[in-house]
Amino acid sequence: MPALLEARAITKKYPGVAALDGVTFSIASGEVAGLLGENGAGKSTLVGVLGGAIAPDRGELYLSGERIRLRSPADAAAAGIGVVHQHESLILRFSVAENIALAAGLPAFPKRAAMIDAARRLADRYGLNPGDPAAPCESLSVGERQRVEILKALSRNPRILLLDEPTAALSPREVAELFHVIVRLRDAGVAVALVDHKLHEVLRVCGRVVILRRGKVVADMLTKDSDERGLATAMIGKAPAPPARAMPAREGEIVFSVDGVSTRGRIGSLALRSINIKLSRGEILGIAGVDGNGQREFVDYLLSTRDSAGRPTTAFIPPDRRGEGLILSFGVDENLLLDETLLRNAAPAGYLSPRTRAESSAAAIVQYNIRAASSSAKAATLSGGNQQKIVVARAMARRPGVLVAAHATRGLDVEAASFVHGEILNFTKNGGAVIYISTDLDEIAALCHRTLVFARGSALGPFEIPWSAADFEAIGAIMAGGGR
Amino acid sequence: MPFPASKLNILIRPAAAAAAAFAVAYIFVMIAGGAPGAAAGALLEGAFGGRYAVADTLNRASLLFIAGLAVAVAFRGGILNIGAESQILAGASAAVVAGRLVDGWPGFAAVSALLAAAAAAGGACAAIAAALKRYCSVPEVLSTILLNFIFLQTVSWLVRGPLAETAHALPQSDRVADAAMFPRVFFDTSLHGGFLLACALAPLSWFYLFRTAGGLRLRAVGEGPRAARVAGFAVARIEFTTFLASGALAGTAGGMLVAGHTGRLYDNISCGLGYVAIAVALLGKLHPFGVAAAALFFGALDSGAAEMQRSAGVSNALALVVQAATVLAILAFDRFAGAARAEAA
Repeated sequence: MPALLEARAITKKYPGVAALDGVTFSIASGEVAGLLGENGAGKSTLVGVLGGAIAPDRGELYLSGERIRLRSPADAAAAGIGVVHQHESLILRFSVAENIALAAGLPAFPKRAAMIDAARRLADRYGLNPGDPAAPCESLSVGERQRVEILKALSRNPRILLLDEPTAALSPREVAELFHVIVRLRDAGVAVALVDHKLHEVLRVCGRVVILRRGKVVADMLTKDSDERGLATAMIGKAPAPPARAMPAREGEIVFSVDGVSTRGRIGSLALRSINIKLSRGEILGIAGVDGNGQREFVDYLLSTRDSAGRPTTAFIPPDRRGEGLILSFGVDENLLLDETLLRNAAPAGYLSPRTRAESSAAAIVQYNIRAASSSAKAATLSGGNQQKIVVARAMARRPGVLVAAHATRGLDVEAASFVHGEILNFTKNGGAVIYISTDLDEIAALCHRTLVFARGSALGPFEIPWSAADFEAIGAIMAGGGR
Repeated sequence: MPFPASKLNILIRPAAAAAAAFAVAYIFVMIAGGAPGAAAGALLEGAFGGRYAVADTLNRASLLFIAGLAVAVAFRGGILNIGAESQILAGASAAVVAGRLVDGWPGFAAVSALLAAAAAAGGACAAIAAALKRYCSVPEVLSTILLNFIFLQTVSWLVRGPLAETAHALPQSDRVADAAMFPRVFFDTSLHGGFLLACALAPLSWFYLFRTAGGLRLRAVGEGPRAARVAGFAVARIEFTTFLASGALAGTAGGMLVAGHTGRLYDNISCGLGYVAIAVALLGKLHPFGVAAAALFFGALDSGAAEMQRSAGVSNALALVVQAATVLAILAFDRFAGAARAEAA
């Protein structure tokens, strides 16, 4: 097949690292190509180059065999290249219809009814339901926002669609819907590039897989010639660790409980309905469910709980790594101290010497293998996996009794995710108890002793492992009925 | 890279912006029919020509520094305190009251009492906006702007009513006790104790912001309030105390205005110092040493402008043009550099 879009020998260097080192990547009309790689392998940089957001240091782009130069995302859009970014780019106060209209191009005097109509037609055409087109985006769940992002890209009828980890926040059903859309686009002749971490997903939908490692293409093969294990090995350069397995829970002592908590729903937030949780030493309690069914509100409730000394009762791996887990403009060392308890220990008299800061962070950097240019490098310069290592290191440093981990592996690659799982299992081996919130059922099934499913602010269950076929069915039914 | 770009930028960018601003000023002087060379010479002469000029520059810079620091501390903590003006006025008013009560006290105690009263009044003034924010969710930008109007009129009423001078000749207060004025003891010039205070506050505030747990909390609340909440920091309380500290610093600047310059209270005593302070803070990149450099620049312009008017016949209003143009140039350079960085990321 002749390539529709081709990148030849692209090199992009940042201080200290070559994000892309002579990468050649092509994609043909009617093809779905998977782009795989660990965090920091250069996937997002490549998407940035193809989407006109990043200017490469060297290398050329060809569209239908002709050399093109992309000076901005607008250039790329004009050339028929649509991008769905990993981090959402919606104007939250604007409605779904307005966000889509902004991407599609506005007439001089936009009419509300026409915008809503256009949004609805676009959604129907692709079978992607983003909820009420007149609703402000801030009231949507993560999954719905993701669909709006995709609709934005589709609104300009792109010939090439780049999807940067679109499934990170979606439930299995939403993923299936998205893949259905991708297949339809492919059959209509669109070239689709899918950046993803989940190997089985890539195998399901992509005809060809390109694997990046440390800025270089290490494999470019047809999916029919490969399997999950082979791909994982190519990605990380060694055989992957076996999947996480939960330890049998130790019965007995309840270390944490939530007794009949209900909250009032405000605009844009859901009411929690009498949530009851009892957590034993060494237990991992899973909280499954489609995003937007009260998980956020439950995390907010847990964040507000304090012990008798006024300290937070649990350690957190918060759901929004970049907004809640870290301060991106702060150094790695300062981020490792973003915890009241740790900060008091590091600076008992209030004085935080550069030496204390360096020593405490150096230990964590070594122990958790955080890859950063220096201990004072800004968190924004780290890859997602290394950012999450900071969050995990900090949560563990407190030696908490209870850990609340929300979407702890979202957007992480196989190796980084298995690192997080390993840390959580270690933690429970030493008697810790974990509340593990995730939308990824495979992950929850592999990790958690008991699972509650959130649906419209209520917690249904529990389901004990191992799940029977009937359990799977019941959980699927709750999730299918529980979406807003 | 041999030297971190961010540290280099703190020096180079303001300098480039100042150069751009002077180019604008050059054109304005030409248009005004003056001789740019002579005007620039007079400006430099007035700012740095001899120890008296330097002392004048340093006095003005000290005042601008403390007011700018007040704004910078608030902004660092995510508090958009636009009310340094009202806090300065509150501080100056309290300083006059205290300064008249301490007649007969030894000098050091009298000056200290005056400054303490000023700081407390500035903090109390900020506490109004801080409490409105904490308990009624009133945005501080709005409340502090409105408080500026209220305190401007309050001073106007004070100097005609409760604090009016005994002679009732002008709308102003009586002078504070001599003991409460800053002693002018340096090098036989007008340089006063406020300069020492500024010299002490610069490293102290840097130390607090960047070398203490409290400073880390303050910056975390400003840069990432949601992350600060997850960290278990008492965000609302930190915001409240940051606001109070900012007000106390601005109040201290008001006290310095009285103890170092005016000796009394009158209408429009601050001449918009609280607004210039915002420019100084932003020009200094909200960093204590940056704010000090910006204050020095603005102070030099202030004292140079007076000489420019006397000897080159160019209105000192032009100094205001240069000041304003500088801030605009800095912001422009900053955006420019920011866009370049975004490109690289």
